[in-house]
Amino acid sequence: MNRNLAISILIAAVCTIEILNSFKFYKEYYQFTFLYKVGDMATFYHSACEDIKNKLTGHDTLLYVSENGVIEPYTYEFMKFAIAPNILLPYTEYETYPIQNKKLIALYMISGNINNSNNQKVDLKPFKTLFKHTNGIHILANIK
Amino acid sequence: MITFFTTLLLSVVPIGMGGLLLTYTIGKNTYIEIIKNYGVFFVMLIQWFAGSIISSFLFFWLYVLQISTVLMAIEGGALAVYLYFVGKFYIRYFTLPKVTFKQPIYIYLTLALTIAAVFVKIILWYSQVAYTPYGYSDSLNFWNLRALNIFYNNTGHWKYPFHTFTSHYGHIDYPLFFAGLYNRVWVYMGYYNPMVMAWVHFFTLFMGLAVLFLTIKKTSGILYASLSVLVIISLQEYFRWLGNLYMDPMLAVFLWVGTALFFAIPQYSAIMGLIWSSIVWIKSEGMVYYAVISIGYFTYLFINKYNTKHYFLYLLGSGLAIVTLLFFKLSVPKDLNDFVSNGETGLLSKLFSVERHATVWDFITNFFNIQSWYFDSYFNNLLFLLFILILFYQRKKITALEYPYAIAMVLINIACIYIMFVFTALDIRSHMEVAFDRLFIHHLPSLVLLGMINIKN
Repeated sequence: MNRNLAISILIAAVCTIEILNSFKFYKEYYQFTFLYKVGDMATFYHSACEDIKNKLTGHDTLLYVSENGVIEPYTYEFMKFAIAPNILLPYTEYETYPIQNKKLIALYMISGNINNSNNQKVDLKPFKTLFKHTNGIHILANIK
Repeated sequence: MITFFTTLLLSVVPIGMGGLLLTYTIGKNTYIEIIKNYGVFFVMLIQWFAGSIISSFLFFWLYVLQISTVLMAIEGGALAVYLYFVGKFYIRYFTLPKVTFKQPIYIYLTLALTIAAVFVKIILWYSQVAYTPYGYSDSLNFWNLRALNIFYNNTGHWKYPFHTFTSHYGHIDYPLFFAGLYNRVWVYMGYYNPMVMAWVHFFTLFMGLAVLFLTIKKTSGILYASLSVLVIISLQEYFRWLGNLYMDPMLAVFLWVGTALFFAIPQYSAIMGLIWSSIVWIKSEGMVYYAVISIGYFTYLFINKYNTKHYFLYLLGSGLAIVTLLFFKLSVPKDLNDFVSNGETGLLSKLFSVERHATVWDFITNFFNIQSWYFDSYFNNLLFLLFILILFYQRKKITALEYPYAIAMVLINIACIYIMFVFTALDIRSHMEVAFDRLFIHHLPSLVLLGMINIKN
């Protein structure tokens, strides 16, 4: 067989498998991001932190912190600074906190990197439980 | 779609500056010669990269001077002058390539598969960036946040473009290449739109792939040009980080474009200097790579007995990047400068710490553990290994410089990664967990190029 042809078939076959394999990642990504109802992250980060705070007046603002999270200090501190949550709720207590029908910002900081299967899997269950019971503003930051 | 076309249109404008630079540095006759040899598209691509680099640096300096809107006049003026020269001297050489179908059918099938793969990946990539247009993790926290703040503070003093808070946590000394490219579009548009960031990344990748394709097509034929694009398109890890708007895939593009030009037009030192030095302004790692590449390039010039002026021209081409970087790094307060603050935390004790060396070595050996490649997401690397083995087998004639260069690149890359992690100021293990795999992304595409180029069929 022509050597070039053989090489083409081999590389094309492996690349096709790779590309088909990559669909798996995007499927996982959507599973995660169907909850990713981000407001305007730019706004969130920049000038309208005050607006968000005003919208939340009289409501509980939660900052969820993942139990297994190695949260880098700048992210955590920035979140606290930007949102100024009145409640810092540990991840493990999300089920016991009465969040039904309350307007809230939920920030969930994951330690597992969804985009890198080298790290641990992200447990999606807390998201599903949390968002089923809320009807307010949801800002979910998938920030490491 | 409006953002797409606006970004596209505005991304084309710097071609004028790139064109003037190219025609001025290499001369009219040589410019025509490259067009004849490589085609008008190849020349336009070089101009696009050169123009974008100049644009980004110019934006920074005009931002420092608080007159960034002037950039529009400079870029537009340069384009007008360039188009005048094109009309006067070069228009008759701007011909479309002749398309002939004389090769075996499987070659065209491979090309068709590559085009299809590119489309599939674009759709998947778009679906990712449309969901998270602000990027992810580091890009969200550092690069894109920085770019956004620069836009909002465009009228203020350049030293304080960052949020008071983030300046203490956001790696303020990270280079600003892409922040400049996003901002010039936002400034032209007059408003902020996050999708501009995604499209700038997309165009850069697309132009990079085109350079890769045309360079390899010239030396090895359309089959290997298609296969090299197909291999890069298939690198999963690369595309994941691309969708996250990280700078690592972009650094890789500029590295492989520089490498491609090294094979195509190595004698034009000023252009080589401009392209390769730009990596220092994309990511901090670029400084190390630039130093290594420059030594390699000077060695090349020395071995091939080039005139002394080539060394100076290379440094002249690098001048813009080096001066900008030095000015920027020195302007960042000492306690916020990663390099200085890293340097203060006991270099010697880190260097002689057996535990640190063992940790880094552990990660490297794991990376080359074939079992982990297969069962983990590093299936990519299996593909890559396979591809390299095939090319070693396929290659009939090894040119003098190529393989030593390729092997040296791999070893130096690993050495750089090794050194960076041994001296990291962060917790070594957690730093390696988040950053180690990304560092390999920088060089993999360049090695694909090195493998595919100059194959004698």
